[in-house]
Amino acid sequence: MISFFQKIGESILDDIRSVGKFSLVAFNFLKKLYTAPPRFRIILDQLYEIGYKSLPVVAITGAFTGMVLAVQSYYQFHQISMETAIGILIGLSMTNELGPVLTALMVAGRVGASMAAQLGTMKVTEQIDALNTLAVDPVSYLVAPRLIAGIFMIPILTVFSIFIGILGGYFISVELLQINKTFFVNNMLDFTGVMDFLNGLTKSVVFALIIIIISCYKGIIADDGAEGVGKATTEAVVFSCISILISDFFLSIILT
Amino acid sequence: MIFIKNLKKSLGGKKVLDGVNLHVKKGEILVIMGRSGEGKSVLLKLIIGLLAPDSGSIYIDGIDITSLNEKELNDVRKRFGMLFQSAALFDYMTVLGNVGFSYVEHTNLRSCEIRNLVEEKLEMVDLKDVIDKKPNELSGGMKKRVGLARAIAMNPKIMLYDEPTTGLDPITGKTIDELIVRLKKKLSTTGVAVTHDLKSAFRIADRIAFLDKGKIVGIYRPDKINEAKEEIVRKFISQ
Ligand SMILES: Nc1ncnc2c1ncn2[C@@H]1O[C@H](COP(=O)(O)OP(=O)(O)O)[C@@H](O)[C@H]1O
Ligand SMILES: [Mg+2]
Repeated sequence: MISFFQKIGESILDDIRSVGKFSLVAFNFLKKLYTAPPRFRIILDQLYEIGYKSLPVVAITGAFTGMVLAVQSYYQFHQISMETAIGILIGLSMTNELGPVLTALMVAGRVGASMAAQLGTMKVTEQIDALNTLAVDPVSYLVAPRLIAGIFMIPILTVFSIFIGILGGYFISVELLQINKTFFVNNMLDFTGVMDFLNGLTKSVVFALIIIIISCYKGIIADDGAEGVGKATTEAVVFSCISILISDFFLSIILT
Repeated sequence: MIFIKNLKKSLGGKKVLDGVNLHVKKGEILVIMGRSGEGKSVLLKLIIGLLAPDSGSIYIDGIDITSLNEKELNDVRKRFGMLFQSAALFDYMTVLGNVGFSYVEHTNLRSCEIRNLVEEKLEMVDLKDVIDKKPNELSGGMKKRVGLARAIAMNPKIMLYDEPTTGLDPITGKTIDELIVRLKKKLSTTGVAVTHDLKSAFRIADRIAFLDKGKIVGIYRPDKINEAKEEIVRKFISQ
């Protein structure tokens, strides 16, 4: 019985310790952005990795989300003859919620996983130690460019996804479901404003920080061996996704 | 050159080093032998500041590196070159990127100058026609050579070798040992090598130290090693 409680106690202590350790490292990541900014060339590589290579996946997600929204809401709104409100629904939900959240989740899966795997491999094959011995700080060399590129690119991907989503919704509503084009567009523009865009962008910046910091952290602390890298990769994606959804809840409360 | 005083380090709840005292003289290669898991790599990582000790001091040219901040430590590290057990080449870069890494990071040389310097360093480790290859296209012995070339790029005063021949066939291992000795003479570096391979130790060492149960139990010149009385040393030389 005692050992049961002892185990629970120890595991809670462990959790608190890991959160503490994580916060310290996260703080150090951000501090290094100022004290040792990375060279432009390395940031450029990451902009390509994070941004350009995520375009297809973000485009497909955005387009189908907008299209599904249109189809789903049509059947709901049709029953109360409010079809023209579809534009409002698509505009508001793409900008505030679905654009930023789905983009972040897709990027967490694609970019977060590959970052954790890459840094984790470097850790277990002593490449991170090698950086240190060559008098190069691994955080400013590896993490800082990823952070900068992420904070820059993920919001851009989000805007892209919002536009594609709205286009998809428009296509289904106007071309297939024969909703009046002017009503659709005017309603959407009346109800979706700059503030909704800014909400979405604010969220995407926070999500970017979450994805990059968690993924780099998990990679850098990876345990030895191939299992260590596998575990780091899985945990990076799972923790990023959970943190995105939880922080989305709180951000939604704060921003509205 | 390197003074280590009463160095202690525990890892994962285990006392790995329990009071190591060691003096590495200028211009020599000191080989540290010990069983696997005895803490040889940990000792090297402490010497170059990759790990911080629990207690004790490490003097490099009179500076106690255990009291330095990160920036000062990086300045001291520029005097070191380290060859890792797995070579630890950056696998997303070519040989040029690996060997030229320090030039890109710490100098303002232009890329054609860097390429020339890299060619020169590769020549010193007897490599040709690999400059544009990726590490995964190289054999184990070639990786070690590239690792060596990267380590000597900035003309370090002190070289650290972590098991330079482990994982190589005996013939390739021998050529790496010969290279280490040649480079030491040519660049007049001081060296610390750890290994559990006695043959390799005999080839490169000026002195051989034995690490057992967290302490240095004896140091011998290779030709005097038969006089050793410590059990662990006897076990190693009768292998
Ligand atoms: N980062 C670490 N965390 C926990 N234990 C470690 C770590 N690094 C090394 N150890 C432990 O320290 C001991 C010595 O390791 P090492 O120096 O790698 O041995 P070797 O003499 O074979 O090079 C081993 O028992 C190893 O398990
Ligand atoms: Mg070792």
